[in-house]
Amino acid sequence: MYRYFLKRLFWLIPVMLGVSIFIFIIMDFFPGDAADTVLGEAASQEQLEAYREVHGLNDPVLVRYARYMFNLLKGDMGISYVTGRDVFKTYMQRLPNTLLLAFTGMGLAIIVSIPIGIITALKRGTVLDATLMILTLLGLSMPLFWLGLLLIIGFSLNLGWFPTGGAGSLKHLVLPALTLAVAKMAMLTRTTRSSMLEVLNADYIRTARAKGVSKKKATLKHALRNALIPIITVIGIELGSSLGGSVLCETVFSWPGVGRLIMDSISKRDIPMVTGCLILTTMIVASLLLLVDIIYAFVDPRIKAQYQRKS
Amino acid sequence: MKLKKVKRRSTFSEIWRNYRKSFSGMLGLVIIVGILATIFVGNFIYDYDTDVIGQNVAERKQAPSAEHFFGTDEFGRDILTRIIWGGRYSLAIGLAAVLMSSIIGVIFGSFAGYYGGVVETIIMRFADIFQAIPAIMLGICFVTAFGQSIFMLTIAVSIGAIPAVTRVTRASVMTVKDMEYVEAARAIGANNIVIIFRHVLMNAISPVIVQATLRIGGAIVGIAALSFIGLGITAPTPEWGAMLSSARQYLRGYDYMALYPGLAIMVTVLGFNLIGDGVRDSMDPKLKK
Amino acid sequence: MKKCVSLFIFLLVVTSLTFAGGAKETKAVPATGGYQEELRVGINMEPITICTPTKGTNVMCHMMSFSTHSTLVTISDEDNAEIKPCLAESWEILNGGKTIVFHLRKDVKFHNEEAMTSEDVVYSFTDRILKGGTSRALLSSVVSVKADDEYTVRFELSGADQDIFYTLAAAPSCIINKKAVEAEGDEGERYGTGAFKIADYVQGEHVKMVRFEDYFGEKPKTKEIAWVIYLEDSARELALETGEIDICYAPANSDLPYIEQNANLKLISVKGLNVYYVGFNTRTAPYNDEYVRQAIASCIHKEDAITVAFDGLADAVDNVMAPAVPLYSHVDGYSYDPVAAKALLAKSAYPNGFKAKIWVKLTEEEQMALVFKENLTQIGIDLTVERLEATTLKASWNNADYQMCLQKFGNTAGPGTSFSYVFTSTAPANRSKVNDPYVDSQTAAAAVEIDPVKRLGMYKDLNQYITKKAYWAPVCVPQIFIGVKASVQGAVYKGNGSHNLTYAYIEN
Repeated sequence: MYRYFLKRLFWLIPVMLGVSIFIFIIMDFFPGDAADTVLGEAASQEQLEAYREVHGLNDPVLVRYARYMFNLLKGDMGISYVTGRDVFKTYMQRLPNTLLLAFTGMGLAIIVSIPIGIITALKRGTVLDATLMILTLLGLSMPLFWLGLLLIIGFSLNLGWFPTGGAGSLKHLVLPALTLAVAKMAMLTRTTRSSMLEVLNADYIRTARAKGVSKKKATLKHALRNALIPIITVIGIELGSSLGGSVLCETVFSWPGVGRLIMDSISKRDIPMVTGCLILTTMIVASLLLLVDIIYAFVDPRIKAQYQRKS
Repeated sequence: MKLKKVKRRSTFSEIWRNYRKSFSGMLGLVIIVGILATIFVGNFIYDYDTDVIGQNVAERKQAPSAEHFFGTDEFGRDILTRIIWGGRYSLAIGLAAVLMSSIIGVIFGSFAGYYGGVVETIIMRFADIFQAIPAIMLGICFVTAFGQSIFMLTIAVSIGAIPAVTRVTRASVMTVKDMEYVEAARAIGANNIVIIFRHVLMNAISPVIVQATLRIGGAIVGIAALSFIGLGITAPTPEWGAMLSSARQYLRGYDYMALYPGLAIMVTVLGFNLIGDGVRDSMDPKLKK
Repeated sequence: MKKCVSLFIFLLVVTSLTFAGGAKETKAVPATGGYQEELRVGINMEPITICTPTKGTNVMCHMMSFSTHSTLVTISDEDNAEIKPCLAESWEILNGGKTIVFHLRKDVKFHNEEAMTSEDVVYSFTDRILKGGTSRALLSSVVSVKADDEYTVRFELSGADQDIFYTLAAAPSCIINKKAVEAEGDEGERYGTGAFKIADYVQGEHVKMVRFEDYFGEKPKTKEIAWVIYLEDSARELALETGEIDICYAPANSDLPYIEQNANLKLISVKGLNVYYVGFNTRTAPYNDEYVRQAIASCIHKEDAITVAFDGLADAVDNVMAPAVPLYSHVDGYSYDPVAAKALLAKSAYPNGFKAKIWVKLTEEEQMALVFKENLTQIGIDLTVERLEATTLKASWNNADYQMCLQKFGNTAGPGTSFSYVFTSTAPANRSKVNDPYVDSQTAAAAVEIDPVKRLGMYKDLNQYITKKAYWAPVCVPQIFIGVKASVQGAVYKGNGSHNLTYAYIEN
């Protein structure tokens, strides 16, 4: 089984390579380049050309890519064309913000959804179940950026409880984390519910009940334990997607995270920054998914067997 | 062969029969049909130049009233009109994007699943690469590189989903390809491509269809999101996400400008999610086969 | 299993709180003594060139550089816009204006404790500013910059240039320390000679400046200035209302009433210097036809555009020179008259109109262009508004499909710049691709004209000529607003938005 995971880890490298190649190639199609961004409105053609010569922007894609990879192997991700600061350092400066937002949002979602999911599974068919199902459906259908705006209107502008954007204190974290959490709550509640339902109807639960185990104990000890497995997968996937897709939330709340950094760098044609950030982000997300799979494999004996077969 | 045809016809009506039993499915259908009807009628009631983008600076920023049900925007344009007209872009691009990603994903996935070996490895590694980059970043890169035409936007929205569809199709195909009827077809001497499309796909396609219907909502939000950050449909054409973006300037005091376009997105996505639920419920027994 | 889950959740919560616990201060530091120690200013863009001021390209950096760097001369804040000494305590103009000799102050120190000498001044110009700095385009008349002795610098020009003092007073013409730049590279420019030194720059968050105790001039009352970045206009304005910041730069027009109504806040407005204009690619048809341009200039409803884009808070203009620029005189341009516009278009080769395309970059430009799109349908012109990303736009001026644009131009230097920057054949931002020998010769002549009365006349003449030819269709000059706490004093607010906040303070 370990061989299988080692293989997965090994495959990460060519995937990263592929990602970096893709970025270089597609950014080559972007109109304009860093010279246009960095030098002001008044820059003459010679100034632009001089800048391009100095930074090697005129070299063909392959040459620039080779240069980049060579430096990368030395551990150097280069410096931003726009700010001149180290790419890796800048990314690491912004990463905690995105992580904080993602984990807080996820944490809120977990605390709320799992209990609710369990309850709705137990009380299937009741009015409570139906109401909660409708609510989760609404939550899933709401676009994140709209929800953010609504929260700003309600809690920031009208009530004045929270700031409209930026970061720096707990108060700044509430609205963005809530926005992120709602969609995850909806998804997680449904997953918990369906997973619990599947498990509750399983034979081993009926066996346990038949043996005299109380309903409560059966639920919490046996059912939940097994239902948790797909839930963990979903948590992992959602966490991964919020690390990568935090752009919208960060835009609405001006949250200084990694998503906004990448977007700004794209518009400024800051190729080293974009490449570095995307490689790092995908590395983190891919590792997270791998971790989820490993946990999943350890926890579920059926899957464990499957992996043992695979390797 | 004749037997097969009979089987297919009853498959569809069987699915429809199951679908009708699903409350959420029917509700979703009602919502979406309602939205489509409104857009269709709106096309004939409204004139693009006067009603949709025609400005009336004197009437700008008016709160909802009897004359303007959803109020007016900063140019004096009626928001309800713009929402109804704008629906066509969200729906068209959303549906086209899902169709595109499904077709491309299914093609690649079935080749990967059926042939295995080198073909599978290459296709799946490419899928990994495109799945590793967050979908919205892919969309942003595409639009920045190739422009904001409707065609490009459709590609940008669909591209994030292609790897996932490929994966699902491959898994499905792998399950099916070893089954008996495929071996039987091969025994008769049927050509590989024919086998893939006629036998394997027909049976492997159910999960893809279910997922596709669930993905439509995401695609609609996707095009709205691109427009929200300024890389989607351009002004003055109304698009729900773009309308939300311009409303940000006027959140304080004119919040209705942000309320209604978002509501439109939510109701539409809700409708498609309900349909997706209905499709899943009605096709589930088929899956368990 | 359950225990694992609860442990996991517990860890999440603890991690979040730990991160949040290290949050930065948002309230103003409590003051000690007579004045508030830290002044907090909310700014609206990332000041990326704050540590390399000679390459400063945005107004934010210019504004902040006033506090950290100094130039040879400055422009007085009064209406007469007189040239005042700064790093140079006196100067002589010789050779009919072709030579300027500056005598430097002997008591100036850089933030790294190095004393300023003529070597630094020469290096600043020859190796930084003239090599690729923002001011380079306006210093084309400079042939050489040499040191006569330790505190004397000699500028040799190719011809007398009346505007050069304005350019030398601009923020990107600041003096930096030769030793620091040679040792540290570009970032060595951050050691200036100004009243504050840069203490800290956290990208995306803030820049912190601390008072420089060895400053050669009057020491500011405030000890620290924190420039906090709020990209969202409404977030920034709200921060002002809640007291998180003391000064809010460029509040959104829709938020101005909230500042006005607030008794603790003051809304300050200054006459702007930015002219929004419609530019034409005069090298292609139909824009090479004078009548076409004049027709368009007569068919745009400026007041409506101003209402939509600026909530009415801008002044419509019909000249290409902004009224607040020195040596401005009013001339008549084209006003909204669709009938006249139709008549003008009839005289051209396109009497029935044509399809046109206009490029814009910013939201307000897009809004105004959309208003004009409606207006122009009256004379048969079908206008498509294309909003391009900043970088894409910059790279596209030479494309064959460039037709019209709606851009802004702010002249913060001398009057000559109103023409030499945008209308001459060597102008760096010549969006209308004007190639008119009369404009070139007249601009050059005015630049060396010593008699101020004659000069005034020459600029009036240029203004009239270009306005009549409609190389631009000028639209409006927005007012500049800034929101401050009512207790803020000592700041100087300028029309180009690059206010001088060095001496701003709040009394306790």
